Amino acid sequence: MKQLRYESRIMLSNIVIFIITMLAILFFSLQSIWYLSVNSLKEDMLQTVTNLTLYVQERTAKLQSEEEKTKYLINNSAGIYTVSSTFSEFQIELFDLSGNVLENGNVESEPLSMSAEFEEVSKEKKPIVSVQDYNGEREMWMMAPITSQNSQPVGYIGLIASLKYIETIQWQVLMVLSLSIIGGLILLSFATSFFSNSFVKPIRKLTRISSDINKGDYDRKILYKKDDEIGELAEVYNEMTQNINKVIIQLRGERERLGSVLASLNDGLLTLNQDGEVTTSNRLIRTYFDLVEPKTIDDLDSHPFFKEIFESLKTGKTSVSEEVEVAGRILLITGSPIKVQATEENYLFIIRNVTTARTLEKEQRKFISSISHELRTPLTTIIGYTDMLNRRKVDDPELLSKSLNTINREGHRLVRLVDDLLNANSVKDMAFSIHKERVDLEELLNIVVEQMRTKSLEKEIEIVFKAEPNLPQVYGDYDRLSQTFINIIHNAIKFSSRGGIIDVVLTKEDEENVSVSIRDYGTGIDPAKKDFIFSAFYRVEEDRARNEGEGGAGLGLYLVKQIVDKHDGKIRVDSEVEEGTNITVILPFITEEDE
Amino acid sequence: MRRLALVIILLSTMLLAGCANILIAENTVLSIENDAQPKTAHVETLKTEQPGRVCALSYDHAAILSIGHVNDTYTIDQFDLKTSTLVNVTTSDSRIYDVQAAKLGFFYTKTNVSSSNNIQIVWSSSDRLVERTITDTIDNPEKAIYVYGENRIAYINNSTELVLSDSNGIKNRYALNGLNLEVSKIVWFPVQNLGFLIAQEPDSNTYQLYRIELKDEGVMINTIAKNVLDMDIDDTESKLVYAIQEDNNTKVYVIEGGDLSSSSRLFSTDTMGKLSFNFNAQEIYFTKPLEDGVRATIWMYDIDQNESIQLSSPMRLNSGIFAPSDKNEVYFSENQLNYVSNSELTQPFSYITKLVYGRET
Repeated sequence: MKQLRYESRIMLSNIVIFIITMLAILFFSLQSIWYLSVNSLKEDMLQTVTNLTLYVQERTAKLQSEEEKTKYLINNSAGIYTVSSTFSEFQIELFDLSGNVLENGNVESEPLSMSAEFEEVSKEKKPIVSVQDYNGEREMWMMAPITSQNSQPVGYIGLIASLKYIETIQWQVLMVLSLSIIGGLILLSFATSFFSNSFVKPIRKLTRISSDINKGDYDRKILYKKDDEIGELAEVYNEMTQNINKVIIQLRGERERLGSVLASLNDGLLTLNQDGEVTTSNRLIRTYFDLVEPKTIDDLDSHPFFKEIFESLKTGKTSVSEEVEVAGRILLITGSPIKVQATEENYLFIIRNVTTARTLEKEQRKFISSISHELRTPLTTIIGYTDMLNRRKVDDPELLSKSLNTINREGHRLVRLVDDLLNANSVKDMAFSIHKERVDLEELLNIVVEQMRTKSLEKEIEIVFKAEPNLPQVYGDYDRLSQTFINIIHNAIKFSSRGGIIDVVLTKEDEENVSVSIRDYGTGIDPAKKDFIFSAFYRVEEDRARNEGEGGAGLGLYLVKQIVDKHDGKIRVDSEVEEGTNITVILPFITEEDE
Repeated sequence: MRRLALVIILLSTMLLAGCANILIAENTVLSIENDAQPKTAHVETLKTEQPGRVCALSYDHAAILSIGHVNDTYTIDQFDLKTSTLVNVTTSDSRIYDVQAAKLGFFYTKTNVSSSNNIQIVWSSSDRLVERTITDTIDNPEKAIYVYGENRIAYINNSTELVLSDSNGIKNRYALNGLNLEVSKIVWFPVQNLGFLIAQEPDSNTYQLYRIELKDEGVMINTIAKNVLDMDIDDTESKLVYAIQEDNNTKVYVIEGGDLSSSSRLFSTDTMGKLSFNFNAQEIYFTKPLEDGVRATIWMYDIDQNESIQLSSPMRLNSGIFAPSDKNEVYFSENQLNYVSNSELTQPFSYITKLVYGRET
């Protein structure tokens, strides 16, 4: 049977309760009517008995014996009957002590013998009563002794009363109540239908709001002002949603924080459960392995090392590491088990990008190797010449001069090398400070060019400097900028052929910047290697430079780049092999707004 | 739902079973206790030469005063309880309503010979040598009077004033604060200087019990009860008993002690006509009229035992119940029909009747 709706159940319950109640009222009303009416009748009968007894006593008081009194009753039964008839409306019969009818007043029918009643009353000596059907009608019969002053029976009186009128009353009450029940049912149905809505309405409202909350709107509140059971439910409900909201906000916050932590991690992170399902992963997993939202370890099949590590961990190992190369990166993968709620084992994979570290190690090895070579070369020469001068007496002044010159030159080379190393080291240090002041680039370049002319003339290279007039000044560190242009011109000299020209041009680049371009017409740079010339320790044509005795540590342009960056400038390299190289430094000048 | 359906079916069955009455056994003979077992009693009709309506006891309780009416002549007769002799005390052509005994004589009310609409109060000495009208010609006292002290009377005059008078007609009049009362009974407590009336206001159809107290600041009138049936004062003039009809019940109260201001309920009964104290106020006699309005039964309420006993069969009472002594006997008058089986009914006579009752030991 289909479950009835709450509203229908309310209606049905009310109707059923009403019917049961009314039936109960009807039943008890009818029973009460009968009981009370019969008892009232019984009291009236008893009163009649009392009245008649007193009447007889009053008139036989002066008679001496009980027999005389009994005879009086018999002899005056007609008069006594007449008087007793005036006492009540009951049908009366008078009996003698033997139970014979003395008077019954009903000449049309035989008197009732009331034999059963007589038998009982003569035994009990008390009034007796019975309710019975007689000739199809319900009647109440009472038989009682008529006693003398000595409480001795002198005769008996029988009283008969029809109970028909009580039954009539009962039927009338039944009819009235039945009609009332029908009328009441109709009224109740309408009223319940009308008012049940008000009972169900708050529940419907609760349902609607619950649905909204279920859809995620945790700010909904139930507004119910009445102080009843629904009001209490609404209050608790609101507290519950408030708490849920708080927890959700908390959880969201935690998730966001976790997400931020995961996102900010510099390592890739991946967690798997025992079944190999991915429970957590961060963006670096996608970046490193080109995976979109991996769900299980099977999605990582293209990288079999994951499964290997996973299987190893499942055997009970506490840590498994492997270094792999993926898409040009060197990644260190470390897996370890983690316990969730002390029982469930999950597995954590940390993927660290060690490419830079490995590259740096490689560069460091290269640098050490290069430095060693660079340091060894002049030291070997110095040691060689000093050994020679030590071992034998050198009389040849030319040889002596050459030896000393060589020692001196190599010594300076060592000094330059050490200076470069120190500068390169200090760039990474926060101590590499830039002290900015107003700098006139034309004036600076004039000095630098003059200073480098000495070097350039050694290779008969001419440095031509041109400056656009009235250029604005720049904010910069005078010494560092000097160093910058010295390094660039130094390189230009290094890679220019003998007798070449180096053009140094100072001009306005645009509305905000000036540019200094240093152009040589030497060997040029291979385009493939152009991007590496500003890397630390990188040397172009290093063997050639070494052979020419101009080998360096590869830090000059690295320093230039760092200094230009710290001046918020840019550096541009244009080069063609065998055509030469043009390095342009662009620096922002001081504007009127800056003033 | 199934259980509900079962309950409904059950109840319906009970109902449809023809409203079988389950509280009273049928076709079974049952004996019942009849608590109202009458006590030993006999009734003696005191046949008198002049049948009359008993009105009062004599001052010494040795006789009863009755008003007789034969043809157009009214008599006041005194019946000696010891000698059972009836002596005529006074005769009047105008109607006599009430008589009350004083120490030296008696007071009675009768129609004013000068104005048949008015009532007169007359005092007559015991030796019948002196008869004096104590009300003024303009007075119109209520029929009910009350004799207190040795020779004083209290009555309501013109429905508007309380009058306390002696046998010489020296009166104190007290206005009833604007009340207009038709009085059916009056009693007076001389010590407390207050009295009680059963009276009704002209437009009312119910009798109320009024308490009238004479204070220094004036006459204080309070309504004590409504629907009052009857009242009586005890011989020591310290208690009042009264009965009121409430719904289908009669309730009997007593006022006693102190300033006679508080009532306490004694007992209840279904119906009541008249009531009166016995000689020592330990018993209360009352009548219960039958539905025919002609007859009534006589009952006695024992205050100590807190029980009511029926003393008589239905009688055609036309007076109150008087108990002059400590004997178990009461006096009253009743209208009697002479029943001779084949004779015509004669004019009903009113006889003084004595009822003697016994008590179970």
